[in-house]
Amino acid sequence: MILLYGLARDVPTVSRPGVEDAEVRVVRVAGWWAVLSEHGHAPGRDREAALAHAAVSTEVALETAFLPVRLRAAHQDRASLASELEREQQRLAAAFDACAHGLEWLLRLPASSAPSPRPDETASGGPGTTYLLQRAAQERSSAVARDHDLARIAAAARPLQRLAEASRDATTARGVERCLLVPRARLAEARAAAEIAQRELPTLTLGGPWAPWSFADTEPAP
Amino acid sequence: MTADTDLDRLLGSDATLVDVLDRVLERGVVVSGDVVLSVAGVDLVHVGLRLSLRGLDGPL
Repeated sequence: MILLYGLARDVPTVSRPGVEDAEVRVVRVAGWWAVLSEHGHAPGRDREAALAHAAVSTEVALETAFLPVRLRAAHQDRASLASELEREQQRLAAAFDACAHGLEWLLRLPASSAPSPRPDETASGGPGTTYLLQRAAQERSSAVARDHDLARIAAAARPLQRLAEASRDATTARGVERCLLVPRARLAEARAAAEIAQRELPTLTLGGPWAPWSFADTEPAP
Repeated sequence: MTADTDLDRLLGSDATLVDVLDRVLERGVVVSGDVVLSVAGVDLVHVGLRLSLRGLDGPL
């Protein structure tokens, strides 16, 4: 079985082992340099596999333009992989052009606790109406808290944001996050800017630079 | 340098390791394969649709 880590246009060098300590190879497939490992069986998708996959992907992304592939599937052989890459050439090329030149940075704040909305005492209706009004108030309150957190992130990380070509916001169980795509060529500046952000806002969790997973988030057409 | 510190250097501290795992498993471009890997459990692989179809093409 073949496990694909990602795709490059220029031949990368990989020094670390892959999933299950397999040797990582760089192979010419369907016009790409495919970073892959070969296994006698389908590898598991556990924590160790994910970390190994992430480490290889990030090592390559730090070196050259790289489109990271999600750890989700394995291919029977190189012919099968080539066939899939050829079938998806257009989508993969578009994703590569959009993000492969960049590295992902994560900025996250623990979610602010939104104040509990007061029931609307002027509402004239049954319990159903009251419930719906409360839910609407909660949603407005959460949106305000989220906007507030994103504004705090933006203020603290202004120098890093200025370097970014794209950003994505998300709310997860761990808080409110902003992902930034910063060109690899500006890595040194980005590191310095990230340190500034961390000093400005010590509660900020800072991640990266990583392979640009959040900006390569595409699936095959159904 | 130990393997752990090497990983820390590349992927970050414990505070963001779970973010890295999320990204590898849930983000990044999807390339369909012949076998879909499962996250946990005894059944490590699920034979994908295309593999099943290929099997149907073979001799009975």
